[in-house]
Amino acid sequence: MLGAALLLELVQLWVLPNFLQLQLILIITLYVGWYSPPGKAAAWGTVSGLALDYLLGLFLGLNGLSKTLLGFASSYLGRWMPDEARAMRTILLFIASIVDQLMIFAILLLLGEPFPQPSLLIILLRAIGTGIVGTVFFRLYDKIRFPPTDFRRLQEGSRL
Amino acid sequence: MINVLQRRPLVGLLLLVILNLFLLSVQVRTQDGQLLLRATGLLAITPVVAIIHAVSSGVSGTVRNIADFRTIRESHRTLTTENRRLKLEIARLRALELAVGREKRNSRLLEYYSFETLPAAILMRRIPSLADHLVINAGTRDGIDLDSAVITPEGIVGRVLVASAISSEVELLVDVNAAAGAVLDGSRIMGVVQGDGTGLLRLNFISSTENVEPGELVVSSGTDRIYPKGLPIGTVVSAIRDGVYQEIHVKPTVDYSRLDEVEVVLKKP
Repeated sequence: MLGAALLLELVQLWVLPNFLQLQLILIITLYVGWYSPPGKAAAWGTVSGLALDYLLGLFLGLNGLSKTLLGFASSYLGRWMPDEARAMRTILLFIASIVDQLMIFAILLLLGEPFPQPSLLIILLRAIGTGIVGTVFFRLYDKIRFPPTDFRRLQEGSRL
Repeated sequence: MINVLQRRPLVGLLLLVILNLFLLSVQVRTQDGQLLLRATGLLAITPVVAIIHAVSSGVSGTVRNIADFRTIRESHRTLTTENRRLKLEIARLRALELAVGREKRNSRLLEYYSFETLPAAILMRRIPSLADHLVINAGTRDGIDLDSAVITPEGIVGRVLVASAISSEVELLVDVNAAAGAVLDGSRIMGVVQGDGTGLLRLNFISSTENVEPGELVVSSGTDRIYPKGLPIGTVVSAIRDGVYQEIHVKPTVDYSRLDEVEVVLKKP
């Protein structure tokens, strides 16, 4: 899944305009964090972020740091929120996307490295796209991992 | 690492953040081309190193001071002697400078002002029954002869009256039996100073026709062949016209009661 996400991230850089580029690695990191303990979520964030940095030719640790922190945060948020609160997930994905982009800009700013002037519109559009796609991904992957169970049939089966 | 992540997630998070920051700092360079890691590392380590350096240098300095304490007295003694010698040298050169201004054509001038001295400590300030005598810790073994001049940077002290191998008796200029060739520094009138037994000196053989003012400096004339020329003797306290010669009292420039060390002028071979 991580490999596929990385490949898609790379491909979308070539084929999609800036504002339509989704943060697929972020979505996966948040998803893993949602269902994992904080330590594992942070470690996943580090690995996926570093892989993304390496693939995109960025400073190693740029996405690594942001994804580590967001993965860790996602784990705690996943504990407190019920799985059925899907609207809340979308909002969180949206907020996490904005935080992720701003964090990367902030790190570059602190390091004194040049970076493209962040456009609020592009940040918002990317966050909206990431929120929507992330929600769909969360729902589909939930269905794959946790297929619906017919408890009535289970009860009947137990009687037989 | 996995255990840390599982059991202490906050510690694990901190370690991962540090890992990412380390990776970033390894790659990023500062504006002047230094690696950020080295620049920030140096910045971070400097206060620690400064504290260690301050503590270590403070400790070693204290130990060194304790060790040096023994040599401080000796060092102080050496410096004091050196200081006296230099003061004397200054006085000699000042006198020479004045003389050069007056006697440019005198080819033997330098001989008057060129002398070597030997520092000596005072062993005894007052000899019983001889109030104006003292004993110094240098003698013939050190190159001292009879009639060697004893001086300080402030002026003339006296002459060696008795010399043993390791010590000498000095007759102070204020002794009633002591005398020295003198000259009034301003008017260049020559006379002879002599102790009067009261701690003051008398300047004899100054004609009553001469004008002598209190406060005028009296220096050695060198005519006695004992004291180097141009060294201070004292200042005129009073000058009374009485007969052919004036009765002039001179206060010595040297405070005999506070003498600790003196310089003995070594005679030329």
